[in-house]
Amino acid sequence: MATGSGAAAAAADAEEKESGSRMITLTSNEGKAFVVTEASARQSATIRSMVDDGGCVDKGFPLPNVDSKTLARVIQYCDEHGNKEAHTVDERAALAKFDKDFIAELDADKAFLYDVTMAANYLHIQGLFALTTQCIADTIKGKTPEEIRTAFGIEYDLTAQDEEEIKEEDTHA
Amino acid sequence: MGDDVVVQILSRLPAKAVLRCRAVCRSWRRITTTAYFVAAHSRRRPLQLLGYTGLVVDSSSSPYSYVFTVTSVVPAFCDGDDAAGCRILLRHNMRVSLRGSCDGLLLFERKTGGGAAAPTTACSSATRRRGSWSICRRRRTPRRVGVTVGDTVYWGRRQTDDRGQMSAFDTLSETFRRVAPPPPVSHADEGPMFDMHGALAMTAMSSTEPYLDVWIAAAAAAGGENWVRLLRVELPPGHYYSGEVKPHGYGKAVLDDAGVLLVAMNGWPSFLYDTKGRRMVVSCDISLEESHDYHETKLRSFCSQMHSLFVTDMWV
Repeated sequence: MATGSGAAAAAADAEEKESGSRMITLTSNEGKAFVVTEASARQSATIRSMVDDGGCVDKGFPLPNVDSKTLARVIQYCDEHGNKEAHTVDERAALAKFDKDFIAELDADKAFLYDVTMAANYLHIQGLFALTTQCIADTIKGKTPEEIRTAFGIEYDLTAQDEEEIKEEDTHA
Repeated sequence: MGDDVVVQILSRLPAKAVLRCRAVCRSWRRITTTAYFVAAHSRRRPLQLLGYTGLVVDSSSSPYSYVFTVTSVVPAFCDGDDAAGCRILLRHNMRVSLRGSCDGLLLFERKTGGGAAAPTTACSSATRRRGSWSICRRRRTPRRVGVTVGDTVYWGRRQTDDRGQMSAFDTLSETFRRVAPPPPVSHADEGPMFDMHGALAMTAMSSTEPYLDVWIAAAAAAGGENWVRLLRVELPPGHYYSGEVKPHGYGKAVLDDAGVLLVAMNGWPSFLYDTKGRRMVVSCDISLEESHDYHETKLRSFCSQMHSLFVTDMWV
């Protein structure tokens, strides 16, 4: 048992040394292949755990839930956060500026913003998911229920009983 | 969008906006009224420090000459609609004391004369429950509550135990062990401990110097703790015990996600310190008799509801 885990640890060490230069292939649901650095791919907790489990690094990772356009944008985020250092104040400021511009651009195209949000959720990219969900929350913040329904294309399906409860809640709020 | 994504989006909203979202459609209504959602929303609210204070008042209409308040100290970095500073959360003229809080639950103990058995009650602000309930009856004030860091609960040295050690309880192996305190800190200087991003941190204030030190324990491989002084916070006048006898070990220190440290030593002014920017954020003049960390959620009309819960329960 002890020898086994020792060998595994040694193997993991060797892999760790290699990982700096390793490239990983991600394939969109349209079959388009994107080659990224391992550091970039590791921004995704989903891919990170597959890589660490010794999964099919050479064969690449098919992503059946993500289309090419969305994947390209997600990779843009991962490259910035995975390949660059963020130790100094200037580096952190540069990254913050990237995030700001990145989300401003997405915010202009809501349908695309939702696609990126879903992809960030599916791939477990924590920073990107926080960025996009906060952006969506900000659009909801000042809106009335009616405006929210229009913005998200939600159908009104509340029952008379729901309406009664809502009225009740309003008087207590 | 899946429910999990909707939860993540809506839990980032201030309470008023969440209430509006409950009137959007059935699915959003269902999502935002689950206990899971309310707890998730509550955890995103800014961390507050609650303190319990008794104020002497001149009141001819009340049989009590004290008003007891639960006051909240809110960090300046709130993302929501709270103003920075202090505000009174609850005001009552009954002798109860705040014993603890956890995820929007406040635990009160009714004070009775002569140390008789006192019912302990809990008021929930996070759940949709309207009732409150009696949790337990006990005869003695319990030992100080320990600080939980990861799987371990830590307690400071006992007041009378000068050369003693701190104790730790591992909740996984269910075993106690002794922990050496930071070597230069005498037991009299030992302040409240807190969880600093997964590591045990201890505050220390000497009676002669206007500093609060923060010591952090890096758990060494051998199981012992390796203490490092992480911060030295210069305290404004009035915030330290210059030569006076200070109460040992009482008080509370908590660190919120933004890196703001809230420190309240009972009976002394409280302050908030930004550990990332290394600067004092707010120091407030109120001194708290007891203090607890708390995430308030206003998804229910919290104050008035709790007030009535509080009154009914106290007199049942």
